[in-house]
Order: sequence, then structure tokens, then C-alpha cells
Amino acid sequence: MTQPKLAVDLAGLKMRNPMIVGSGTFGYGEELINVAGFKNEDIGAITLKGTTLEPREGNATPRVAESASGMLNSIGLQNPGVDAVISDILPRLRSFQTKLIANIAGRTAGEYREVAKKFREAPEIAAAEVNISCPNVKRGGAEFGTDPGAAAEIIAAVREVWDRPLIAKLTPNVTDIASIAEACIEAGADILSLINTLRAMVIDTALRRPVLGAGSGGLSGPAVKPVAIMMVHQVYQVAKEKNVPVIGMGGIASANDALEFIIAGASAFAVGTAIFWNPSVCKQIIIGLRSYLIENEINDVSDLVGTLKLNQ
Amino acid sequence: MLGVVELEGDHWRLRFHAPAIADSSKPGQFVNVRYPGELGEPRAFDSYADVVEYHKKHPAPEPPLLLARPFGVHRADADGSVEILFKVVGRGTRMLAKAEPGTELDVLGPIGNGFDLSNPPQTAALVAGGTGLAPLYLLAQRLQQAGCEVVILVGTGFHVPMTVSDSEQAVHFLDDEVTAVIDEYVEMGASVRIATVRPRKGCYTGTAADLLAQYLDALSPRGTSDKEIFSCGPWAMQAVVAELAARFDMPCQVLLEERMGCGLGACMACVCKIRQQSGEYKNKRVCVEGPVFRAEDVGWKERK
Repeated sequence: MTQPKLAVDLAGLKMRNPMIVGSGTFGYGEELINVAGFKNEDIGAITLKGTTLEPREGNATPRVAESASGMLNSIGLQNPGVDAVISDILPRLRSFQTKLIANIAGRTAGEYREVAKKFREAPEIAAAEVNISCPNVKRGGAEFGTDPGAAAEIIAAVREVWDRPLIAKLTPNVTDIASIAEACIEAGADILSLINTLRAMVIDTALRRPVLGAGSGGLSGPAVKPVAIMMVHQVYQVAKEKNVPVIGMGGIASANDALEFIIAGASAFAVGTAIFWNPSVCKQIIIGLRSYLIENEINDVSDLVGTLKLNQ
Repeated sequence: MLGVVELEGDHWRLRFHAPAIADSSKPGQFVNVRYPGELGEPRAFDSYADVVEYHKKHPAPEPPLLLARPFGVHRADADGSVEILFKVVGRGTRMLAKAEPGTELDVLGPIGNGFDLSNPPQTAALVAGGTGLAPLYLLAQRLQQAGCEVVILVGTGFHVPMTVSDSEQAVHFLDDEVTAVIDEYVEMGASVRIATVRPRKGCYTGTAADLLAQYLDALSPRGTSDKEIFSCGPWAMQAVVAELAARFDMPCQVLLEERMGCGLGACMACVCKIRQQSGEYKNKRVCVEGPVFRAEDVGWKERK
């Protein structure tokens, strides 16, 4: 059998394979290039750290805490601001042999639009992921993503100025994620990505205080994967009707995890927290994905998307 | 992993074989160590009383660790082995302390910018608080090799995480009673003195910073040029060390510790306020932009 096709085209976002690195787990893409076992050429796209109009210093430390099979973070969108990202960081990423996705955050619809407008002038950016789901900022972030009307307002504001594929990143901290997904599609999102982190807390029993400096944070890692799989499955049901592809993420640490997402309905998937303890995880996933396709005689990874067989 | 031994007071010394890291570690760099761990075997008990007895002795098994923990490189030896020192403070260190020799550990390193030794001083005062002593061994070794006179001032709780013996020789800046030393450093040719808050025979009573102040007072008539302070330990201790360095107008490098996520510079968790050229304090990542900073650049009062 010939090598199966891994290349995907998500609403115009063309990638060599369906593996993306999730926002916030990879800085601005430069941090891992010196680590043995990691190669940008192995991944379809890098999603850059969430970027705001003005620089942000982020939350108080400690900003991470471990839990069983998971990790809480409360970084608080520390970033140098969109102008510095475009002028100082993007030029250094030009030689990267992979697509770059900007992750946009803000406190108002106007701020989101301004950031998108600035990124529009950066030809390095292949797509924009609109972060309406960060749990770690006091204003904006999750507030928008938990209300269909507010989510649609932000997506529409970015859509007005953004000419490339637009990804809406959804929060799992809602009762009905499908209704948020529908609102984002209506407002002009080309692609949906999910899930962001789950709101969570860890307590130091000796001090009777939260471990995180900000009190609470967002849970990621293998602990959240079954939640993410269920939500991808739910969102896929509404997205496929509109031909909107889904990027699945949440706790992926192996090829089998990635396959679960694809079968549940994800056309692409993102790896995140796993990189922290296994910097060569991306290579392992691609090798495993390819052998699954060969063993199951599937010629194109896209043929596997949404092939979940439900009990009647 | 080659072995882990308990020192005093739940401090541990862990050695593992990693020639590439042993070869390339510079003083002040660290390694990210993850002990994969495992859930305990399911157990069958004969009676409820057995269950109670068992759980008095054994805590519930802990789930495997996800994240690596950062440890300063203590020793990096020619035989390819690397040593770290740590105190058990939580789940990660508790599991490492229980690891069996032969266990495969995930180790990433060496990470970070070590101490700047491009212009070594004639005399170096190394100040350590608790396990802050760990990264200073390699530093003392390299400074000695560069022809520096090395003075090591260690502050600990009652227990010293080392084998301490008594030296006959008193040092010029302390009274004759303060004679306890740590053999490892004496063998290297460095002067060592120990401070303990609770009085202990042979030790200086006070903190490492008090001991440093005493040393600098004794030194100042002879001048503090060509001398530099290197420090590692708890934040509060290092803030005092930084003040002393400023008061005596001495250069001072501090190795900072912060809770880390990735140790790769990617997650932005381990930040600390560092003064920029503009005079503004900005968050810098301890893992890749540190862990060593100039004491005068650290925002000691910026931390909430």
C-alpha cells in the first residue's frame, strides 16, 4: 500500500498533517527548537501564544499546579502585545517549515478586531484562532465564550477585518457547547476548535489556601480528554451540517488519543500539555497515526473523520 | 537512577547516570526530572483490622506524575553521573525519594543560563539557604579551578543536609567556637561555615544572611573590590543577601527558584519581575531567561 495521505485542508488552512500545537503550550514557537526529538517539520501548524492589543504581564505566581493526570495553569495571557509580536517575533519565525496560527484575545469586541486587523498585515499568519474561552482573565475571555450572543459578537467583529481562515476556540465551561458552536458558525467562523481548559482549583491543605497565585486556573492534560472527546462529538453533529471543520484538543498524549478525536469528528487535532513532559510526543503521534491508517487500509486521514459507530 | 540516600531532615541526595548532561552542565544550570511512578498493586486483606494496620504504615498510592520537577545540578562527575539534592516538599519529591535504583527517570537538561563566570572574582562568597546549597557545589568547583578563593556560607534549619564534621581551624571573621564544616567542600579547598537559627554546637547562631553580614563587616576594611557574592536559597533570604550586596557595593548573582510547568520556556509559568534597561520591571521566565539573575535587577519587593 502507498503511504496514506496526511495532508488536510480545513476551510483553506492547508497543513502537511492534521497535527497542530495548541496555543499557550508552545510560547511563540521558538522554545522547543533546541530540544532533541522535536522538529517543526513534523507538525502541521503552530498556534502562537494568545496575543492582546496591549502587552500583558499576566497573573501572580505560582501559575501552575499539578493534579492527578492533569495540570492547572493561570498564566493570565502574559504576552508582549500584538505590535511587538509582529515586529520582533514573527520575522524570526519566517524560516519555520510549518504554518503559523495567531491566537487573538481581548477585553472588548473592538480590541479583538484591532488585533486581527494588525495580524492581517502579517503574511506569515495562515489563520486566526479567536480565543473566546480563556478562563484566566478577569474581563473578557471566558465571559464571551459562555454566552452565544457575546461569542457571536466577537466572531463577527473579527470576521469584518479578517480575510483568512477564522477559528473560534470554544470553552468547555458551558452547559450546551453545541449552541455556542452554532452561534460562532452563524457569525462567520470557518473552523471551530475545542476544548480550552476547564476551570479548576487545587488547595494546599497545610495553608488552606489555593496553590495558584490567582486562586483558580484552567485544567489541561490527560484528565480532561474524555470531556473533550464528548464535546467534539457534540459539536461535530452541528458543524458537519454547515461543512465547518473541527479542531479537537484536550489531553492528547499519544496517537491513540489523537485517533479518538478524529473518530469523534475532528478534522485536525492539537497537542498541548503533553509536550511539557514529552517533547518528542509530536513525532510519536505522527508515526502512530500513519501506522493506524496503513493497518486499517485508510488512504486519507480525512476519511476517518467522524466515523464513530454509535450503538443503535 | 543509580541511588537515592536520605540525609538529615528529609533531605535527599539522588544520583543518576546521564553522561551528556554530566559533560555539559555549567554551574547554576538545572535539570528537569520526572519519576514516572506507578499506582500501587491492588491488595487483598484478611480482615478490616489488617486494612487499618496497613494504612497506618502506608499512605494511599499516588497517581503517576505528569510534570517534571526542576533541580539544580549539584554534582556533574567525570564518570557520567549527575547528582541532585532535594527536600521532600510535595508529591513529586516524595515519589523521587522512593524511587528504586535502576528506575528509568525522564531527565531533560542542562537547562537555563548558569552563573556568569566570564570575569571571575578573586574572592567569591557563596551563600546558600537549605537545598540552595545544591547548585553551589559545581560553582565552587569551577571557581576553585579558576584560582578563586571560595568562602561558602550555609544556612539551614536545625538539620544540615550534609555530613558535617568539625574543623580545627577557626576563620578570621568568626569567633573560635564556630568550627562546623561540610567535608565535601573542605576537600575541595573552600572555606565553609554553617549558620543555624537554633543554636547548634560548632555552628553560627543566626541566618545565612546574618553570617554573610558578619563576613562582609570583617572584610570591608580590606575592601570588597574583586569580590563577588553568589547566592541560592529562599526568596526572603536572597532579598536580604541582595540588600547586603548593595550596601557593601559588591556584585551579586542570585539563582532564583519558581514553580515550573515545562522548563522549556514555552508555558510562561515560572516568571519573576526583572528590571529592564528602561527601569521598568517585567516578568521574565526563570527557566530560560534565568535561573541566575543580577541581584540588583530582581524586583524583590514586586512579588505579591
